[in-house]
Amino acid sequence: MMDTEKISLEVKNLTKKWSDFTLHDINISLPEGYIMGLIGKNGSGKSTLINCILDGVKKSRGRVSINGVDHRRVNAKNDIGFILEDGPFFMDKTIAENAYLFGRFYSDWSESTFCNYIYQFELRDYMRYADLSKGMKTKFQLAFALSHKPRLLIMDEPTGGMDPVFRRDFLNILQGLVCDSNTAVLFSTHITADLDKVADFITMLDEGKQVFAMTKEELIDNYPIIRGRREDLSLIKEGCPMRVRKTSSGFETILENYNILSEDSSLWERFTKSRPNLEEIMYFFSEPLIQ
Amino acid sequence: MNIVISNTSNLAIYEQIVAQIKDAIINKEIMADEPLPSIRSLARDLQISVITTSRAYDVLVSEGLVYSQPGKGYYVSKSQTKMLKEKRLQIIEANMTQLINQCKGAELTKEDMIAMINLLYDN
Repeated sequence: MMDTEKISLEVKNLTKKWSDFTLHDINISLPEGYIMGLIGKNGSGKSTLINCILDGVKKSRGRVSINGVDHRRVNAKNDIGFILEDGPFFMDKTIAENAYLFGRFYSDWSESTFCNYIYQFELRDYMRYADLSKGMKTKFQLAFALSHKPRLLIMDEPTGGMDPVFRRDFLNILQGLVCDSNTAVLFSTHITADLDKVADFITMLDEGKQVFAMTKEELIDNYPIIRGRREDLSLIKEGCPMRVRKTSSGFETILENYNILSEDSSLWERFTKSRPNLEEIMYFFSEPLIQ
Repeated sequence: MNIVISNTSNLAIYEQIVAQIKDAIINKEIMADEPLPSIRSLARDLQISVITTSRAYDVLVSEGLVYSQPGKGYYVSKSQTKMLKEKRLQIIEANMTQLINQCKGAELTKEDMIAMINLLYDN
């Protein structure tokens, strides 16, 4: 089924070099009608990746296409809706003025859709952009993005400033977009619980490198959490790439389908195995700060 | 047909969907050749990912309980309820064997077990 689906966002060998940070060789592929979550620690490169995709910062190398079109082309930009921490909007103008000024850039912009969303999100069109709280800015940007019918929605930490009630509504809106309008959604978040249920694909970055990009189902199947007694730590073969959390009574880690455990399968019974959530996956896949 | 997803279940979300659709078929809540909800509408209703939902449907198709008509959707296969019931019996038998072994380990006699079942069954 997946093979016949159209790719909405394709990133190939994307590299961005800053003086003090490099985003290395990122490859992701997101079909229409699916949600991809982008996870990673602070400074792992999530915002850099998103800004490169949006062509807000120029990539150093690689290729990005939106529905088959190079992301620097106007047609590609017309297909993308985005929510960023610092949007392009004018601080000293009202919501209505900002929407009018920026809506003109999009071929499918609808003023009436925008007014409906603003009302639904409990914003007022006379509010000044600078006076909005972080959560309200996100709501405004969401209303704006949805009002030009994007085929791809890209968001950097959209749920950060949201109250829990709106966060649920927000996830509902996203599911409506992917299920009814076949929109593709890419968003970064530290609230991994947002992704545990709704995300189809997960991409993780760490220190500017892509750790993995796969479906959430593959992740959960292939990377169980293993817990065991301290003395059994030696049963794990040398070269285990994951972080191991040691306590006085035992240890905890993630192993890829047992394949770095000893070949003697009877020893596996000494460990307990459980299904991981994304927070655990992110923890065990990250480079530890202090060894 | 009701499907309820629990976050605290031991089963993965796709397994919960498979189990509950099987129950609905056994209990004749959905009959042969009746359509199942589309993958995307079920994903939306349950607030879970599309891939998780399509994985559940793939399992049901591979077990022969459900068939897909390209471009139309998924339907319940004919006369699979007998097989499902047999499978269920097999599971109960396996659990019962385990229970008997536990009882033997605790030095309970067959009569003790029957007495216990009589006491608990009607509760």
